[in-house]
Amino acid sequence: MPTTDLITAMQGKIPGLNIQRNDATPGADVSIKVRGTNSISYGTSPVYVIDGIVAEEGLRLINPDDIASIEVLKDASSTALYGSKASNGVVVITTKRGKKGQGKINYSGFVTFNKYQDRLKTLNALETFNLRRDAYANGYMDVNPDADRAAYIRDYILGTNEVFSAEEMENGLNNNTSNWIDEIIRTGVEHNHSLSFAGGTDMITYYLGATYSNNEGILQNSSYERFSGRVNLDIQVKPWLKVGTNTSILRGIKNRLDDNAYETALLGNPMQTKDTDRLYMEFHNVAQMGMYNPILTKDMDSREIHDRVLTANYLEANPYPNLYIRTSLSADIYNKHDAKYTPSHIGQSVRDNHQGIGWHWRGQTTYYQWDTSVSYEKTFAQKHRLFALVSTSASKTKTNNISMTGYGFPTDALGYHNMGMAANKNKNSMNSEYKTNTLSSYIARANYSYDNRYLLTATIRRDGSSKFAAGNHWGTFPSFSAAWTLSEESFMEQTHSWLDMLKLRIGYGLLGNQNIPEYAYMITYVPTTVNESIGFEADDNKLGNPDVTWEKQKQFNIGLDAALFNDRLSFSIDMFWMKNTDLLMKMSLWPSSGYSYQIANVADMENKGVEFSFNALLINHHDFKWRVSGNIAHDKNKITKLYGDLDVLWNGGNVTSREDNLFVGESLNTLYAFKADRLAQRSDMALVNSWTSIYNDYVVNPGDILPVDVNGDGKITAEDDMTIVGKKDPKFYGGFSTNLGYKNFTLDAVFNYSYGAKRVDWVWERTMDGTATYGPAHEDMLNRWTPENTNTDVPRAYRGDSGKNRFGYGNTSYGLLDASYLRCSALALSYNFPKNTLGKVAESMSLMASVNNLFIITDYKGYDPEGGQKYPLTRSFTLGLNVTF
Amino acid sequence: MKRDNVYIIYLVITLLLPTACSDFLNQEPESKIPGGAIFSDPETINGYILGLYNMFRGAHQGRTDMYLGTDEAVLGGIQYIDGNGFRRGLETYSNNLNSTNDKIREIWERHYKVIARSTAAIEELKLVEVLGDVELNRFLGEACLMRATCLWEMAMLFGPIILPDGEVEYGGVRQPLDVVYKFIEDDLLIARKYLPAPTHSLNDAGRATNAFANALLGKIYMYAPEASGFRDYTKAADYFKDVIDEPYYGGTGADNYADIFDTYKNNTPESNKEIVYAFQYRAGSPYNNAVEWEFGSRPVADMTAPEGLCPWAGFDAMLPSVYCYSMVEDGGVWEPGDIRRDISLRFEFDWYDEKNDIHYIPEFAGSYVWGDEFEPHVKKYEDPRAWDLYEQGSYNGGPNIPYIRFSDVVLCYAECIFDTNPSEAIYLINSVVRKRAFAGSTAGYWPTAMSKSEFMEKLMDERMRELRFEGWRKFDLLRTGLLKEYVLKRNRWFVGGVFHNTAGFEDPKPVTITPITSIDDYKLLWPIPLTELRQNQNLTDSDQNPGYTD
Repeated sequence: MPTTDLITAMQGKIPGLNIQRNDATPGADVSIKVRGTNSISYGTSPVYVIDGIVAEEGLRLINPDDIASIEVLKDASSTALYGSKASNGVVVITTKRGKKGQGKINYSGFVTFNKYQDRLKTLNALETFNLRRDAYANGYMDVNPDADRAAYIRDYILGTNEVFSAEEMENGLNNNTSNWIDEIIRTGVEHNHSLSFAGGTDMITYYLGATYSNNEGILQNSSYERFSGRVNLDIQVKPWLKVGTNTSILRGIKNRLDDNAYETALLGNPMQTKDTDRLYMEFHNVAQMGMYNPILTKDMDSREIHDRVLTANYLEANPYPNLYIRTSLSADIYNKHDAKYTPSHIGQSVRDNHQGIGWHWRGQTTYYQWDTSVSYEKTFAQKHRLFALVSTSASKTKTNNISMTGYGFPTDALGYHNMGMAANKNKNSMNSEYKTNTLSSYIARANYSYDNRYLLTATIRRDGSSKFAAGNHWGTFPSFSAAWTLSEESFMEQTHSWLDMLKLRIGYGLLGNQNIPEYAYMITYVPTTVNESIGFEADDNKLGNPDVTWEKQKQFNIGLDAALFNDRLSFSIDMFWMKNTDLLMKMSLWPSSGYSYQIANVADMENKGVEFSFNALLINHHDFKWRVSGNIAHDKNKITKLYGDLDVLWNGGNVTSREDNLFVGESLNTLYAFKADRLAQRSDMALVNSWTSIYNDYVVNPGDILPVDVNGDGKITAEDDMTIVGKKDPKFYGGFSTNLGYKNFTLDAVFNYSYGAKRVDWVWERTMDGTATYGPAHEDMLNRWTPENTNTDVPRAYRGDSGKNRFGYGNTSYGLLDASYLRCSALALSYNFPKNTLGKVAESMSLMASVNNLFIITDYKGYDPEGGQKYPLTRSFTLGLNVTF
Repeated sequence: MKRDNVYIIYLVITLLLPTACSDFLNQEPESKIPGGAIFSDPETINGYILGLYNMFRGAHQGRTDMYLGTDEAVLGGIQYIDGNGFRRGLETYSNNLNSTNDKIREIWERHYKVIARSTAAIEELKLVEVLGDVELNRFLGEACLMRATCLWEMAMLFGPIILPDGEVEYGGVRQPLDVVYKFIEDDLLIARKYLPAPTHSLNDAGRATNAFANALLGKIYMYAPEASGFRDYTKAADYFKDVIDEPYYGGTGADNYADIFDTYKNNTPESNKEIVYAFQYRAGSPYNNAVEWEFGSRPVADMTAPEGLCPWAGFDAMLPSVYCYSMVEDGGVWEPGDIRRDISLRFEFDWYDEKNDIHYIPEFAGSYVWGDEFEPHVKKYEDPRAWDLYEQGSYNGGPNIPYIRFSDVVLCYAECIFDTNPSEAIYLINSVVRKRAFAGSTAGYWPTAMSKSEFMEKLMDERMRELRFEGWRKFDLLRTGLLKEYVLKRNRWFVGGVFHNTAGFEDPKPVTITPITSIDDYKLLWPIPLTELRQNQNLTDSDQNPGYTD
């Protein structure tokens, strides 16, 4: 299926691989998790190994057309070769190589149209107007129960501009609705062209590829343009010596629509006339600080350029039969340039009278990796096959960056291109940073197999990391696996008529994780400006932790693979148990410690799960084929112990944090809030009035969210009545697909799903606050509680008088949303031209048309259960062509 | 055979290479100073101490929050009705004054940051104290002084507090007040011993002197709660006297009251004579402190584009109470002829921008208006330099913030000696404070004899007139036990009634304030932030101050 993004291509296809498209910005990396969550904040994503080069970022730069295979390694034994970064899975990406024979030319290209999905339904101007009117009236009547509501509405709400500005009054009553989103979206157009040349002789095989793609995003200004070129060569220099290279050069140019313009437009006032005279979004004439007019924000120039060279070069010698010596030197040279100019006339600059803000950031990461291995492979007596390997690996990552910010530009004409124009020398600032980290590893591995029936693998590796203090550098990580191909046993002979393969696998291993920032083991001091002088302060208020060391993951895996009926049906089932100890985390410290956090081995956690996948060729006629495949995964994690026998670690040290707190005995992904499962009704008021105090003096009247007095002490307090109210882990997730082939036509459909996860969504919460005073309102507010409409779960309209406030979606369990969904992520029809029609023009040719994100079935109230607040997810239509000559 | 040897050598070398350079895994920071090196030479220690000063002033920057809930100032209407109610809690001692109040947590956090970081320096510097190095011991004195100041303020607000571990391991739990005050006293005695006398050098601006240490010693003996057993007016008077006798201050402090708050005179001899300690800022981003943004008026901010250019633009966080701005005849605190009223209060809000020849007149125009925005405002922290020199707004003002002033020391001293030497007490107040307040005239002199209760009443008013909005009121009310009485009768949120703004809407909209009629005694101590109780392994919810959870 054509895509410029290889992660998208993997979505829903691999069991236990959870891909969250939470940010659809053109050129943004997508977050993926293998087998649930196994680390807390560091190294939660798998590592990517591209032709042997270990890379942690920038996957977007890789051209999917150059890729021959993607393999996701999950269990400890198979990831052991990639060791020190592999504890959250390994995605092995192998690019295409040439084959001996006649050269081939391939062109593949597509064009995609992306459409915005208007999923967050908000009220029109009149409905918004009515909601705010009711909110003020309700707030007033709470305080003045004997007052004349109609008179208050007539004389105060409608009779003055205290509640509605003149503009809001006019637009609201006439139902002139401003849809701010329209000002920043467009139809996105993406196109991609790849050309490759592959072939080879006995001495040399080659693959040369070149790509250009350009994605004009659905938000105006946002785009991603990519150029890449690749040379893969393998050369047999001598009968005993082979050398080769996999080298690519990549450039990505990302333009952004910045400063949350999308979010701002999403939360714009439907009763505010759209114009460019006002710098801020306004509600009731009140400029919303920080919510800059998104139409003006488009005048910002914001661009990121990435240049990268990835090169893996090997030399392989075969001095004696069965003995191989291989050494490879790889490098990843990654240059990043980021710049932004905020012109003087827009709010972001006007607000503090900056008169234009220029910003530049340039960084370089150079990564070198040197691997050497000696391996021996031999089969004895035809049935005993032995493979043994010792290898070493050393890598060094050097990062440096410089940044500068300048203020006070005499003209906006040149933007950030000449920072020398920044006149405000007091305010201008510059910075730089240099850092280095290194890894060193020794690995020994042996494979033994007997008669293709029994397979044993044992690996031991010792890894050293500069991220830890001397004395804590090294960790030792053994792993072991065994497989038994039952179907090869003589006692299974009678099943051969229907059972092609049956294999039992078992594995156990210990893996390490060291993916934390440099120098966590010490306080580092950075300059701070103290009037005319420079002083020193602890960087980021971080306390050094000399004891910080490897996070360890013990993993036990058992699996079964089977193939039946001439391989028409195959399936795999896997079960795993993981015990993670010494989990690394940015651990918030208590305030009296004087520091914000330290990086520490804070927790132990268990994670267990089961994965199942199948592939079936249901119909296999000459002209008509139907293949169905699917997978499902379930995993469950639990924190078993925390640092210093604490029973909870609060996110950022904030005891009212809703997300990312760690509780012993609970999942890593809990949600914490005041418990509230329904609205207060008139009959609840006796209970409410019996409470001796309510948190922050919140109002609870009929139609408001009713908190639960969890400990029954007759008070609602943060101490006793906030509790764990849900978790964000899905109960199960996965994908399925069907592939129909009729003659030269193929119809593919890919679905992915997730069930049982809870999520919170602040945009939706904002639209449900029932005031229509600080943001737009969700259309659910039409079904709000009123004395006449009490059988509803939507709170009444309310805007507190004199600072009164009430419980909301944001601090109670009321805000939890069911994030279950079923999505048709792709539907594609392709046509392969029959060979005879092509004649001599081409060797093969196919055309395809597809729709991505065709539909989603969900109860989720926010923009999309997978995300979409930073950048909206789209529905897209693609036409593609693939020709080989 | 020869070929084989080459391979074997090659193999051995490559396999061993990563270990051959044993330093490969030792990577030191290249662009940051490693923790182990910061105390290794006087230059980096000096940098560390400067960093401490930065945190020290930062701990005092959110002044409105620390000093809300008095009879001197009131929380502005717009901030009062703000949804999160954190400031409302501090102002009114309501249920918003609870363990999850963010403003309380911030104050606790910022103070303990200074306490912990100065402790790190004190530990190191005490090791070399015996060497008698003047420079190093001065750093020790500075760190001790900052730590003591922050600990004392915490003890005033929270009662028994956590002391940092050092020579004595306090184990991270709350310590009784006598232990706390002894700890603070020890620090201040070290500071007094090693800190230099004040000088006029700009390089020393903002650095602690022995006069600051003496003044604080006086303060702790005077302000310590009776229950601590530490209150001692005789000792307090001795230390205050040391400050009064310091020649730098000339026995009088600044000659003109206006000079102290004229930002063009910050760090000049005219104002330095008054300053025992002031937090140092400069006008213009990034040296500003944004204090005026709290004290200024919102419609003033809205009258210019871009907003907030006028030096008295702000967000109405803290306004003088009616008592604090009214004349005696109107039930207030001011006597005719006292020049301090006009110097420290703003009554007019329009602004003439000379650069562009525009006369701005603010008006109530919908946004952030409650009705008190043209009530008299605090003027002490306006900094016209931000506009004059940099064309930046009031947010970018950077007045120095006086912490201890000479006249404060004189008033404290007089109060301490009144019982033993009333005439000296009154003489000093008259000759230093009252004379300057009445522009050199003796018209405002107090009679030389009066009863103790009469004296205390006058003194509390005098402290308000002289020091209002400088952060002493809450502590003064706490130490005298007058807080509830004065707040209930002078703070509008407690007095209640129908509030008409005096500037006059075109369409006046009176606001009815339902009076708050009581303050729970236990709320005179703030609750320990729940974050501390729950994240600090040595504490539990039951270590909370009484009243908050039971």
